[in-house]
Amino acid sequence: MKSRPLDPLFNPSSIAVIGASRRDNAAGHGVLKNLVTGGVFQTYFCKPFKGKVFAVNPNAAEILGVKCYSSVLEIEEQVNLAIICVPAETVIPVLKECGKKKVKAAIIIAAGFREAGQKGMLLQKKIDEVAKQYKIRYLGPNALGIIRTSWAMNASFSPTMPRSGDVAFVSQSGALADSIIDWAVSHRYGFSAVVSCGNQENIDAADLIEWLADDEETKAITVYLEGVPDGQKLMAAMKAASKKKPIIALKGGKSAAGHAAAQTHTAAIATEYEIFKAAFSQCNTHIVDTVEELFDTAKALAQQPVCAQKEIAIITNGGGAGVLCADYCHELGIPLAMIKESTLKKIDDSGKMHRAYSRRNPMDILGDALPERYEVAVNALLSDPGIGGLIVIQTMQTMTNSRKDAEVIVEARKRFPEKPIICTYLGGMLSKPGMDVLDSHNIPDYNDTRKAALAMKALIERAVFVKRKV
Amino acid sequence: MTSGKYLLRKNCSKLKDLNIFLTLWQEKGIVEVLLMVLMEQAKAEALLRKNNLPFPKTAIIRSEKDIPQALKKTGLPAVFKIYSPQIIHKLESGTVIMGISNIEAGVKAYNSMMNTVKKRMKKTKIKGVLCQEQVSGTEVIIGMKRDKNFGPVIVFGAGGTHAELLKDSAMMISPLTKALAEELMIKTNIGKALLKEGSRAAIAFSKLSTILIKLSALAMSSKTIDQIDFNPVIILGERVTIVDAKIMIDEKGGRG
Repeated sequence: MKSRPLDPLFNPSSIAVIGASRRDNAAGHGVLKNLVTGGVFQTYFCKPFKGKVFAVNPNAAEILGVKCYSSVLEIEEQVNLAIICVPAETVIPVLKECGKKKVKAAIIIAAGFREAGQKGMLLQKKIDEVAKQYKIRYLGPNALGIIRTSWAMNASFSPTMPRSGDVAFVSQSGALADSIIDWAVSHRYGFSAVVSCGNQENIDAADLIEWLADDEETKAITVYLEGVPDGQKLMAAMKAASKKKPIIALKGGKSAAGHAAAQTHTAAIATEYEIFKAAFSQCNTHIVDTVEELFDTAKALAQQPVCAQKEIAIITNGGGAGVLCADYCHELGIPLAMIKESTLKKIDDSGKMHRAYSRRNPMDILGDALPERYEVAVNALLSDPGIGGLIVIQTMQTMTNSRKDAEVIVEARKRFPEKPIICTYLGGMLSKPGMDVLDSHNIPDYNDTRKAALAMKALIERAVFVKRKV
Repeated sequence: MTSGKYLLRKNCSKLKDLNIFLTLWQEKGIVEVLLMVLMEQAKAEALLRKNNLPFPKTAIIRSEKDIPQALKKTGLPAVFKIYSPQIIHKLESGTVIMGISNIEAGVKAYNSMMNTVKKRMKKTKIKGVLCQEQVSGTEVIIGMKRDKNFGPVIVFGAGGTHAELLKDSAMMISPLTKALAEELMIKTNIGKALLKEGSRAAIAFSKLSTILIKLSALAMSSKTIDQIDFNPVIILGERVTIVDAKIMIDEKGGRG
C-alpha cells in the first residue's frame, strides 16, 4: 500500500519527545516513560517502544536513560513523529523547529488554545500557519496522544498500555480514553490503536477513521465524539470506511439544550443529538448509548461474521435466563426463528436430550445439561438454514462443565464460520474456565443476556449495512 | 428573535427571488411565516408545479362579489384567511375561518373578517381574503433545518400541531436520493402505515418522496432559508397537499 499522510503518526519508527522532563509529575516525563517502558503503571501488556526514542530538553543530559538533545534540530537521525509536551506558549517555536527538521507528524499535548479565549485563539492561528508552511499534520492540541499496541508504542500520557487486539478507539476525550485503557487492562480487552483527537484542529476524527479503515490490524473502529469540525467530511469518511469494516459511535452531549424555543416543529424534532444519530446511521455506523455498549458491540462486530439471516435461536440450560434473553430480543426487534420439525427430529434422534427439553425457541436443554447436549443442540440449530445466528446461555449448575461447554462452542465456530455465535456465561468464579476458553478463541461472551442480544442486533444491522447502497 | 416586520422588510427581495409569497403571523411571540400563493398567481403556481410542491387550491377575494368564483375554484368546504403581506398580529378569532360550505357562509365570513380589520387593524394594508380549499386526511410533517455541522437536515414524521410530541419522526442529512427519501419515511410508523394502505397510498408515498427530494434540493441551493415546516402535509388517497408552510430566514444571510 502506498504511504499515507498519517503513517508517521500511527507507525513511526522514530519519535522525539520535546519537553521531556525529569519531574515525574510532568506530562513530558510521563510520555517519555510510556515510550521507554510501555506505561508509567506497569502491567503485563507493557513493553518498550520498538522504534527509536529521542528526548529534547536543553537543561538535561539524560532522562530515564535517554540522551537529551537541546533541540530537535540537533538529532542526527530522522524523526518521524514529534510529541510536543511543552506549554502552550512555547509550542510555536518548537513546531517551527520540527518543520525545519522535516518531521511530518506531531502530537500537541498542551491545552490552552481555542478553548482558552482570545489569546488561545491567536496561538491556534499561528500554529496553523506553521503547520501549513512545513506541511506538518498534528494531533491536538489538548490531545492525549496515540497508542499502537503492535508497535508497543505508548506515545501518550495514558497511564498504561492495553492488550493488543483488533478494535481501534478514536476518542475526543483524552481522560475518558485513559480510564477506558485502565478498564481494558483489567478486562483483557484488546485494542489495535487508541487515539485521542483533542481539539481536532488539524487531524480530525474523519482523518483517523479514514486511516484506520485501511489498517490491517483493525477489524472494528469505535468512536467517542462530542462535536465535529466538518460534518460532511466525517460522513464521507464513515461511509467509505464502513464498506471495509464496522464503525461504532458513541455521541456525548445528548442532553445539551437545543434552542430554548425552537421556531419550527422541525427544529424541535431535529435536535443536535438526533441529527448526529441520523448522520451516523446514514453512513452505516452503529450507534450505542454507553461506553460499555461501545466496546461490547465492537467485540462482536470485530470477531463474528454478520448475521445475514435475521431470525436467530437461543439455547439455554436455565429457563429464566432464556426467557429474559427472548424478552430483550423482542425489545430490540430481533425475531426468534421457528425451529423446523426436521431440526427438532434431529435433536430428538440424538438420544442425548432429556425428554422434557423445551423443543422450541428459546431451546431450554435443562439445568442438568452436560456438554454433549449443548453439542447436539448447537450443531442442529446452526445447520438449520432458517437460523442466522445463535445465542448460547450457560447458567452454573452442579453438573455444569463450563470449560467443556466452551470447547463445544469453539468447535461449532469452526464448523459454521458463516454464522455468528454469541455466548452468555452467567456467573463468576465457577464459570471462569469456560469464559477463558471463549476469550482465547475470540468468541464474544457477555455476563448478561441483554448484552448478548445487543451484540446480535449489531451483527444483524451490519448485514444490512454491508448490503446497503449509499 | 427579531420581529416579523423586520424579517419581512429585510428579506422581501430574497423571498421574492424564490417566488414565495409571504404573510407573517405572530402567535405567542413566535413569528410564523405562512407560505401562500398570491398576487402573480399564475407565476407562483407555475413555480410550485416546477418544484413539485402541491398546495391547496387558492383564490383571492378582493370584494364580496369575488366569493362565488373563489369558492367555485377551491371547492367546498373552504377556509378563509385574512391576507396582507405586511400583516403582523396575534392570531385572534376572526382572522381565520374554517368550514365554509356555501356562498352564504362565505359572504358572512368575509364581512366578519372585514369588520375585524376595520376594528383592530386600521393601519394594516389588507389585500383581501385568501380562500383555500379545506383539506383533511392523514397529517404528516416534512421539514428542513440547516445544521451547523452537517448542513440541511430533512425531517419526516407524523404531523400536526403536536408533531414533536408524537415522537414519530426521522431525519436524514441532505442531499436525499429517492432511495434515501423512501428509507427515511419507512423509519417512521406513519410511513410504514402509509405503505400498508394499498396502491393509492403507494402513489401518495411516492409523491411524498418527491417533496422530500425537492425540499432537500431547495435547501442545498439556498443559503438564506434556515428552517422550513411543511406542516401539515395532508394525505388523502393518492392526493398529497402541503396545507401550511412556515419558512424561517437566516437574517445574516445564511451560515455558509
